[in-house]
Amino acid sequence: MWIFGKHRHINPDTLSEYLDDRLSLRDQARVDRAVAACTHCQAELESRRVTLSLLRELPPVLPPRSFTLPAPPLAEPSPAASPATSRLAALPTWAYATAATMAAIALAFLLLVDTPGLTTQQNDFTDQDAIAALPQAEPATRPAAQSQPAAPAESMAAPAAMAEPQSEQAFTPEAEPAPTRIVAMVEKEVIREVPVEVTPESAGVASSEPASVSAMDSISTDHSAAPAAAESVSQPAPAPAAASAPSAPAATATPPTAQAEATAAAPGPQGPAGPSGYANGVTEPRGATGQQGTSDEPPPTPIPTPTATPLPTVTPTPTAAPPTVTPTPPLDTDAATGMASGGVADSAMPPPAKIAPPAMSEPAADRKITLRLIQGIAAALTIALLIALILKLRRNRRPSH
Amino acid sequence: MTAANPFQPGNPNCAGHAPLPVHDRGGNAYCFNCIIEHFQSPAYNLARRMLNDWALAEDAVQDSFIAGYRAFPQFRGDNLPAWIMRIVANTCRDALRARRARPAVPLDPLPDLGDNPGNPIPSAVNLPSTAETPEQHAERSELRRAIEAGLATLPTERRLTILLVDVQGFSYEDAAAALNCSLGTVKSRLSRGRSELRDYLRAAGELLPAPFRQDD
Repeated sequence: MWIFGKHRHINPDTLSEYLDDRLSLRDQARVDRAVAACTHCQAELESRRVTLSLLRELPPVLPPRSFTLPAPPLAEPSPAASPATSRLAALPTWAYATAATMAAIALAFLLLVDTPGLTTQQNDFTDQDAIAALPQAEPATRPAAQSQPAAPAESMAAPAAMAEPQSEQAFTPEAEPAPTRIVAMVEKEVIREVPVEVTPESAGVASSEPASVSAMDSISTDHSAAPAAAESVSQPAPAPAAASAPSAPAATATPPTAQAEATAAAPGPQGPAGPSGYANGVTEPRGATGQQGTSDEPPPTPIPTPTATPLPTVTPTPTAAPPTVTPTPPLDTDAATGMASGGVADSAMPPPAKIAPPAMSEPAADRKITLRLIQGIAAALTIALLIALILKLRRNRRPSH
Repeated sequence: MTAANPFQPGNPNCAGHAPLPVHDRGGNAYCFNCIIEHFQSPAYNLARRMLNDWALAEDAVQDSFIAGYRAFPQFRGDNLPAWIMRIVANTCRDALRARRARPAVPLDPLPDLGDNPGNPIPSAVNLPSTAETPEQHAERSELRRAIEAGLATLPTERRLTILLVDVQGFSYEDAAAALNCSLGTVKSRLSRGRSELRDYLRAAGELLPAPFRQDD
């Protein structure tokens, strides 16, 4: 090739393309002219042609065996992918990444924006749950509160420290049902036991005695070895009977409590000798309460509460047996007001003011549920897109074929 | 594969093997065993000349077809020969890299102990008979060894390009697709590779037969 009167050899790449017939007709003609004029270019072309012929005549190597795969091939991949799946796989990685990022942002927005509303509604909701659970406990506690007039003396006699846990129970709605249930169980036992024991031995007592007295008598007859108990049944001398019991000096407060404490005090000295199950079931806790009453340590747990239930059973009214549930609210913080009137004690019932009334309306609840659903869907979508993104990245990381 | 698909399941060539249906990205169905039967010879030739070891080449080809079967749902359906050869080339690159990391001296050829006379152990010298004379066979073997030795001196990418275009007969475009490079790169690699091979053969001119001996 001549440029400005000076020969320039043909580019080797052009010669290769010339040998492969990849040049245009015009370029081929130019190469032909240059090769005809220049021996160096001619030799270069010839050597390349020989090399190429050597390569093209290289004999093929027969494969030693067939490489076909067996019919049930490797179970790992699913080559027969549906067009929809292959279309999804064809999506670029950035599409997955963008979708996952947008879903994550949407989820974060949903979680952050309505957090205050959700939390307040959450509280309302839990309170509502508590309120929903409350009516089941209320009927049990309300009669107990109404029976407050029957037990003012108790509340007087009870140590002040003992009232604290009970008042706590009265204020916490969750703790409410449990003591009531325990009291109801104890009450059942008392009721069950009373008629059985009333009938056999009420010989020493006048037949005109009220049922509660006869029941009281039956209690005393259980511990028949104690003459003080028999005395306590006769109204005039409750205090000596109580005084005769060294383990229960606190029972000197009022006659009803004195009677009650007399029954408790009678087995006191003979406590372990109580033969009947009733004596074991009732006197033991009562003895314990009596001793704790004398001591300065109030019962720390709410368990002693039901043990106080037999106390109101001593009340003169025979119908006072069901209200034996007294333990709970009446032993309130303010024993004096409790004594003044049952209504006051009733007002000191578990304050519904702390338990918010069901303030959440229907639309609010619907809105909350809808928000929860949207949040769940957004979270699921985010997780799914992130998994898809990870799978896509892993697939791209494989050696490209 | 814009034209009729010659590898559809159930085609007449499917009778000689177990059908192995696969689908490409567009949902077109193929019988992968038909594809293997069609491409196993060029694939083995490429691997054999790239690796200079029949056992390694066999493994490379089998691995390539298994990889192709697994990756077939990603095949776009445009250029099947280039796609298959790309897999084989990648497998050969991996094998060369591994061999460089763990060099070994091949025992070539293995002696045929006569245990299996119907199926002799394949080796570089156990080429199929072409009914030629012993002299012709010796010349051809010498030439083939010289060319293969010259090819072995080339860098991997140039060797691959020369094998695909000059030995396998691929077009520049198919070679570019198979090697995942541009057309200009293919042209450049071809030109330089041919020049280097020519220089090697010139240096080893004494070994070449007279018709192929190149004079300066």
